[in-house]
Amino acid sequence: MDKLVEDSMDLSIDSERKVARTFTGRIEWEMIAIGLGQFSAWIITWVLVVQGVIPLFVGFLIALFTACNAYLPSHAGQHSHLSGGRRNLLWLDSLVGQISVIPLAQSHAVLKATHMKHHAHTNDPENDPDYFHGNAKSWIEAAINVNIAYNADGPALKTIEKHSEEDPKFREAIESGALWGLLFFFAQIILAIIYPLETLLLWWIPKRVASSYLGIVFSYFPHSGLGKGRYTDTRFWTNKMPRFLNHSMQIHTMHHMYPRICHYDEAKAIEALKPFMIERGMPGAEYIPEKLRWNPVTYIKEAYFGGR
Amino acid sequence: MEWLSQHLEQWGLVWFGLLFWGSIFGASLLYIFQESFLISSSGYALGLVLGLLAKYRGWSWIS
Repeated sequence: MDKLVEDSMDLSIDSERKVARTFTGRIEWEMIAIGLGQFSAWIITWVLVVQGVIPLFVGFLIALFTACNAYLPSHAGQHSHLSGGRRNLLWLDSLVGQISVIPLAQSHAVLKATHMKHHAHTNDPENDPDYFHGNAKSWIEAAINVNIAYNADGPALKTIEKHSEEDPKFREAIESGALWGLLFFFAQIILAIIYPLETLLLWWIPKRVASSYLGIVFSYFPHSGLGKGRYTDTRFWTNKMPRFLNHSMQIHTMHHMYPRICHYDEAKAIEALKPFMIERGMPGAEYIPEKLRWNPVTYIKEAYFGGR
Repeated sequence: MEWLSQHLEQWGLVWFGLLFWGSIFGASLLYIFQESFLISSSGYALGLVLGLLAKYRGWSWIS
């Protein structure tokens, strides 16, 4: 019966876009709450540790948790999900996006510029800034690569230099983010002089661990070993962990198909777009469960693991 | 500002090694050994070595 319905469906690109558009345009308030919430928790942790109210190792665990949740609100801001694309609210994307990535000591503007290049050139070794960790040979290699990608001879840095030469707008965004780089450089040094072990355990280690976590679940599992192309550069996968612990990157396919759909609407959008995904041959699409909302996706038919 | 950016491009990792990692190494050594000028200086010396290594090997991951 389902097959009959699918066969009779209009699976054209126009129809696909029409369905996708019904899931775009809202303000993703959940991400605003997560962005501001995790940053507040991080600041409060600092205060409580410095005042001796909670032990440093407890603060470390909280900081690790907040750092791992720092990127996604910035990512939502990069795609204008925080403003819902409304011109008068665009400041929300930059403001909340930047506040959220302070625990990662990153510039939202730089992350946005490089992420847009990732979307435009996913899995292209020469042009995708995430290729080095996204296409590592194992998840451990991805965890290491994401932290060394910006070394002097790092592939990500080389890709950024290439885009800076070719794209003036990209260069402008990178230069605007340099000010945040300077600020974080001095802030980390000053804090380390005053609170050395606290700075190590509440900032430096959590941001490095979070970077590895992001490199594995955001880049390696969804993209490694795949080719280029909007419908074929991202896979549907599972690692037997509830997807809520992986920022739902198991269903990252939806984001690469329609980046304007908010993160928290991806599950229901996939339910509606599944026939189109199968039709376009998206990797793993045939194994997508009928119901994805509140489905942890710890198991899917033909248990499909991410990575190579 | 321009001068600062150019200076940090060349020497930023060395300063970061000396001050950031030096402070952390010094605090870690003080945690293990008794407080003395030699111990805290050793921390900064180790930090400087890491910073110099980072500069010449391009290890921006230390920052």
